Amino acid sequence: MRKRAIALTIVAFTLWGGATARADDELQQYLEQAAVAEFHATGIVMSSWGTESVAAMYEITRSHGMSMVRGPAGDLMVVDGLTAVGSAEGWYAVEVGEAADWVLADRYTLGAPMPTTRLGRPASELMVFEDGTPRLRLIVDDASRVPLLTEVLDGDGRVFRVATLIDFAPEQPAAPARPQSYGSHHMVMPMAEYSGLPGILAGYRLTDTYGDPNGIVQGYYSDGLFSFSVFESKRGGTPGAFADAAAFTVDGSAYRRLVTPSYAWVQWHAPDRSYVLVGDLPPDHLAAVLVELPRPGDRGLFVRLWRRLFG
Amino acid sequence: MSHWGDRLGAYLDGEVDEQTRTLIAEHLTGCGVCRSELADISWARSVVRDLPIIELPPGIVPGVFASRRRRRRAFRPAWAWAASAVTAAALTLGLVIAPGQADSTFELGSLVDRHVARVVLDPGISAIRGPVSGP
Repeated sequence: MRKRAIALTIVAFTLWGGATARADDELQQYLEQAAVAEFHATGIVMSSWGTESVAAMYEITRSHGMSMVRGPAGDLMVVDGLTAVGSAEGWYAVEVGEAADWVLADRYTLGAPMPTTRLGRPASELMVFEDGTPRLRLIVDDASRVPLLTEVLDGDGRVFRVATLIDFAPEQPAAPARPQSYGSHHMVMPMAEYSGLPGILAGYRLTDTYGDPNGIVQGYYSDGLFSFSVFESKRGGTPGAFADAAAFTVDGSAYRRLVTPSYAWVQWHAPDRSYVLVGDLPPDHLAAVLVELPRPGDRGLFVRLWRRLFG
Repeated sequence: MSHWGDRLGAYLDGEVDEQTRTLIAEHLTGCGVCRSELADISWARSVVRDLPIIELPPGIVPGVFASRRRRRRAFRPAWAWAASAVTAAALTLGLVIAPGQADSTFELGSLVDRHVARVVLDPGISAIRGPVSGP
């Protein structure tokens, strides 16, 4: 009787594990196909962080192995293994030295696709679950697998970011004009040997660490669906953009936050280091990450004394 | 419970933004620790500001150098010792601690570029992301 129970348990776990593995594989295939699809589209992205809401319209073109996004901050092109950024002075390129392979975390599983239509095209509605809780709702074009609608949910099941295409042309568009040359801002991101950042943060894996001549270390974390970079430097002043940023607290610690349609920016000073985090992670993930990083704090008795006496 | 210790000085001087000011004011209504700390800061500042301004008598600095040259212990009034201690403390605070308040080492435009350059190499994240812009 006991042997039979054990056997049934093993079969049940095998079937459950197999179903999970199939779901993950399917989600991975959706995302990988979407990433290489060629199309032209116009979209709107909105995000809401408590009382702060921001939105932007963007245009995206993928053709002949190139990708170009036009947004409120300017143009961005991925071409020849470089990320080219358009600026008032012309194009400059950012090259990543090395990068780990993309891996989708096991915590995400895909629900059964539901047939629907979007922008007049056959599409499928997908729900992505994180440990059984809805995290992402997608409506993907059946032919190209491109997400026509993306809704990211916070830990309470509320939509906090929506990206929707309002115009979609899947026929191969003309290739974007390739930059003729790059300016003097060309920058290589070398890998850095640094062990100061945690290897895992709230389920996000530190995949790559980069350095620069100014002593700033960039730790890139990803769970395959969302990602963020933690920039760490010696303790310095507060970047001007954060001077009037919204203050918020996580587990008793105070941070400053700025939000853009696709990203959240968080800045704080630990006793010996200053940090900026930028990423597209949901608010509850952000809070979970921050509590595992060095906490905001002052430099000690003398600095506190100085500030108390002289402000 | 979160505390606002490192911002109370700025709060007292009216140097925090409106939103932070409201948050701190609400917090103070329910937090005895921060209320007490705010009272301490206020008291310490009032003490410093109420200190009398002492004008040094003419010739005191040349006199100090002259006494050093003679390498012998000279009599100094108590207020001179106090003034020396305050000066030393001010120099210590000013020269050793104040340089810690440096300019930011972060150039945010560069951080955007560096993050985006890495993000575009992740197919899954690229597939669902929108445009990227700095603050």
